[in-house]
Amino acid sequence: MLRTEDLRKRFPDGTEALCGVSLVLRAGEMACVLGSSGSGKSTLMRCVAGLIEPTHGAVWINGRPMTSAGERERRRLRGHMGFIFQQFNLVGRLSVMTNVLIGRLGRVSPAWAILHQFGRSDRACAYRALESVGLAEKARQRADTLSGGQQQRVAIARVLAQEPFLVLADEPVSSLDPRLADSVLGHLLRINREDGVTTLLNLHTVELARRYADRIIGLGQGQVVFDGPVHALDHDALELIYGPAGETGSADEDEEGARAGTAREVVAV
Amino acid sequence: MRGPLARSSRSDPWEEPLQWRAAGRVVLIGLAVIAVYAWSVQGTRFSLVELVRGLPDLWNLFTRMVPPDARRFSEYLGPAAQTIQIALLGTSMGALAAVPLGLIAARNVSPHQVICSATRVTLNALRAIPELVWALLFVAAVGLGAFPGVIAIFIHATGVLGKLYSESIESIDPRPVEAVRAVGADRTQLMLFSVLPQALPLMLSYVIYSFEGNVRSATVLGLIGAGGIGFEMQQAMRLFKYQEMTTILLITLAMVTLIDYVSGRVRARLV
Ligand SMILES: Nc1ncnc2c1ncn2[C@@H]1O[C@H](COP(=O)(O)OP(=O)(O)OP(=O)(O)O)[C@@H](O)[C@H]1O
Ligand SMILES: [Mg+2]
Repeated sequence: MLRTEDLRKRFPDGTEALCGVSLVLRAGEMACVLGSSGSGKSTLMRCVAGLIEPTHGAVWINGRPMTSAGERERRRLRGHMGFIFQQFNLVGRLSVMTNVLIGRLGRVSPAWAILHQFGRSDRACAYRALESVGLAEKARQRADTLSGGQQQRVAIARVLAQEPFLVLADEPVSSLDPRLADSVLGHLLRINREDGVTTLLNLHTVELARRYADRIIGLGQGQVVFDGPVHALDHDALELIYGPAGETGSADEDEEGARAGTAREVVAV
Repeated sequence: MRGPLARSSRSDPWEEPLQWRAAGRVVLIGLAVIAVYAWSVQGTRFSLVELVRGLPDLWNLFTRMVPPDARRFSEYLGPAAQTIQIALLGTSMGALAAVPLGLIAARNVSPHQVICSATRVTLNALRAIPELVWALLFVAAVGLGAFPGVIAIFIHATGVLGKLYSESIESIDPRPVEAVRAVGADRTQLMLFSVLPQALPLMLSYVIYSFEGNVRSATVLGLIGAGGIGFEMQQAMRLFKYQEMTTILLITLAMVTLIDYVSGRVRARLV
């Protein structure tokens, strides 16, 4: 379904964000990437989606090479891959419905879209997507008038409208409160279970990962340091991913500290 | 100046020389500013004495300008309207022509680095040459009238708006753009569904602002024969009809004020 081989990414400023990531995701899997801040989780997602270019290595989607593909083929592949962002990334001035219809852009003929016009079947598809996240009555509202949780549900509807076979979600709930997080992750889980959509997401707490994922991929300094089913995620595995629990570690990185803290709490339970 | 106590409480070795350097810089800038003004006064032979000496003549002119002669008032309304038409056509054509140029000149969406730079240079050139110069060229080429005025404003507005568009586009939020790219949208779709929806309100407000300025410019263009109310102004002046000229000036004043007021209101609603 999804395969990456020896992915490396070095940014122009010299940062080595990925140092050889090889992964295989089987169809229908719900895999969660865990790792402390700066470990390369977002970079991995964006390389897979072809939003940034890896410096080395390759990505295959359904057996088709993404990295070496031409722009046309890439666009086609992206059209079948949903991406959910931490900050929702809706176009705030456009209506909720148009934002969901954007999910159809990879499919429609370009000429129609020039006038922001979509065919009947596209509209129906977008409307169903919006209904399934419970926001059909907001269709005509401007996207930036919605709350954070609602915006992320619109983003999910946008992904649904793509009718994707792979969903990538980069910290989809870290800017939402716990209750909304459950609602959003619930939608992703349902898509995964009911439609069999392969899902690769990264989450900011171990607890959420345990609740929603089948498989955990631990990332540390750009390398896979753990890869196993969710029940294999024990104390040792967490130390592998987030570093030794006793140590205060890199106190200069507050965020990292906070996340490792989350990991420790869960271990203590 | 810092007291010795304050100095000892801070052991920052950079503190002292930096302050001296800052003070030195202020003095240098001050001297440079004075020099520039002295140079300008000398170059223009500007003198208060001359100004005072010229006051009686100025008063004389003023007395010949009042009261305004409004007998031909209605004859000036047509040319006033023409000035607005010149500004409207020139600005609108420029606003359209500037869209592709602005998109290409915006660093964040430009298709190619080299094309981007070339477009920026072109826009700067269009902008750097004043409307008045373009109008002189076109009056020489196609003759007197409103048409060369429209063309002059069109060219200049293209340069100004292209530049302002590109700045509006560079200031958009890149995250929704990436999201739309992630669904497999092509270049055109990217522009239509993520770039323009974000930049359009600011772009429109620049268009209206530029129209405001272009009404004033179109007035001036009339002075060199490019139609409109300015042309009437120039005629009246040439024939020493100072009282008629006052009427024309008042019409111009009313027209420009009205346009500024209306366009200000529209812009306030846009942003
Ligand atoms: N555009 C960029 N230019 C330079 N360095 C970058 C860029 N994007 C990311 N990096 C660096 O690459 C490393 C990995 O970043 P990445 O965003 O993938 O981490 P992450 O695991 O997603 O972190 P977080 O949990 O904070 O989101 C970091 O050191 C980051 O500073
Ligand atoms: Mg990240």
